[in-house]
Amino acid sequence: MSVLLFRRFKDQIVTMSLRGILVGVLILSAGLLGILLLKSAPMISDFPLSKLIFSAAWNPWKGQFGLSAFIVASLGVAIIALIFASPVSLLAALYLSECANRRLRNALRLPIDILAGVPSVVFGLVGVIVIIPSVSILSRLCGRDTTGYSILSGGILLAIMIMPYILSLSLEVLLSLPAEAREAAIALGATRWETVRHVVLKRSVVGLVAAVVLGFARAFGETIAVMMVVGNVAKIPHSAFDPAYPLPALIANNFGELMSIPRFDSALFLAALVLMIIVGIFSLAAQAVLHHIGRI
Amino acid sequence: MPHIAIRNLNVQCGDHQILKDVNCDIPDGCIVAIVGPSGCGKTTLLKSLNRLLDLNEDAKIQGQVLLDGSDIYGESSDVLSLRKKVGFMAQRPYPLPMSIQDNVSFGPKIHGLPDTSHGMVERYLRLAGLWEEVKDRLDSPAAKLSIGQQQRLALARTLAVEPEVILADEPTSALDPISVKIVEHQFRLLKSQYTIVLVTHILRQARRLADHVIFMYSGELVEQGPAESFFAAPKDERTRAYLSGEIS
Repeated sequence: MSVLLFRRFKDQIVTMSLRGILVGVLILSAGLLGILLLKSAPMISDFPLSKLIFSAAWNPWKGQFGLSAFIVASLGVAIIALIFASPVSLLAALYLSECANRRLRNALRLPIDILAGVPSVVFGLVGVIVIIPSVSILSRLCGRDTTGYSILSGGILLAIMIMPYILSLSLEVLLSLPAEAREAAIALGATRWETVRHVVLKRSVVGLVAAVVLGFARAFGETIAVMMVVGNVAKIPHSAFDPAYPLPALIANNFGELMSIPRFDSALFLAALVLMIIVGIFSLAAQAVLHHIGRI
Repeated sequence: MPHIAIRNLNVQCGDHQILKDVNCDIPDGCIVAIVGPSGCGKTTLLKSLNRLLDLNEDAKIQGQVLLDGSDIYGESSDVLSLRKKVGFMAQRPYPLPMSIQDNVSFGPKIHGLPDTSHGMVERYLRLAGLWEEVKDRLDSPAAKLSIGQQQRLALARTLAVEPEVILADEPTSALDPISVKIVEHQFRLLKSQYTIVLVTHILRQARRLADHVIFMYSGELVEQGPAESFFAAPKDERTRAYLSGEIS
């Protein structure tokens, strides 16, 4: 009887500990959101939210704190990065999971994981000496004469950064599919491509979308590397060759500086809140898409 | 119906020899049961007959599997048309991620068969004994079927590409007794039109269904023959031990 009691007690302890850890994580996240809300509250109470979000006028010393140029820049670099990185990463992952032999797959997994963990400042340095001059040449070929510091450079650099990340995640997703899934189609005489198209992709779509969304979140929040190549000009970019100023760069460049300007710190906290909300909206949108796909 | 002959077939995975010099002729137009204890090479032998072993990177195959006299492992062999001719049902059914109807028409579509109509879908669902249960929900996802229904859908899917041989790897092992009865009944109905090669570890099932039995033990083909004489008068000591339950 005492053994049974002890086992029940252990079971309760483990359950309570796990619940406690989960609650701790939730409290931390809620605390983070709470601090951002609290610190950006003065800004929200002094200015209409629509003006803060949709105005591009950023002149803190004149009391103008429009964030739209930064939001557009953040979305711009992240979307350019996804346009370049997603197809390449997903196709490479498909090649590794469906066509490559195990030896090649195993040989490449470690370097891909190492690349996914390279500090972003290293990518930033390479971006400055390789991407900036290349984009400058490209702009001249397109009839513009720019320095190369642009939203396009930021997008390309981020694409290179998140490629191994999306590739690594999607490869895990594809490899987790049971062998029976492929066997079911191949046994009917399907080719490798027919199997990929009708079975592998349909079965893995949830995980692959999650990999891309995580890649987007990483690109959207990336700071240092983007800051080094994007030009940091607080204006809405009108072309991919224009410089821009993403939200994370705004916060990193300015926090601790110019703090004598009234409401400036509150504006930076609001920028952080907007950053967090946009990533949240993308995650929710991805979940809605997946829910819809699941229903079909 | 094609004639299948296996000649000096050896299959190795890494250091492990799974099939050792297997030789046999599969009789046409009947149910052939491959029996033997777990890990004796039954499934490997079955999968070697439509080159599903190709999916295993470690498998090294030597010897010949002759389908109407030509080696399916030969250089001129076309694996896609081989798999159309020699269908395969897995131990656990895996519905393709699409509707019930599309599961049946998938094979005919990829092979460019002329008939991919609703009528064709109905014909093969009836042949697999599933039509009455699904006729009102052909567009719903196949994954929503019970596992017994999924296995019959797998049978309909296999039949729809018009094979001449059906390979079935313990097709009833994951099913409830009623589903087992239905699948076995369908196999009995189908054997006049197809050669059915069935792997089973259930001796009672082999007794109920098989016209011809192959007994495998440790990768060797120990004994084979018509079901009646195989069960009544086994020749090899190991077969006798297996049938009496001394080895399992």
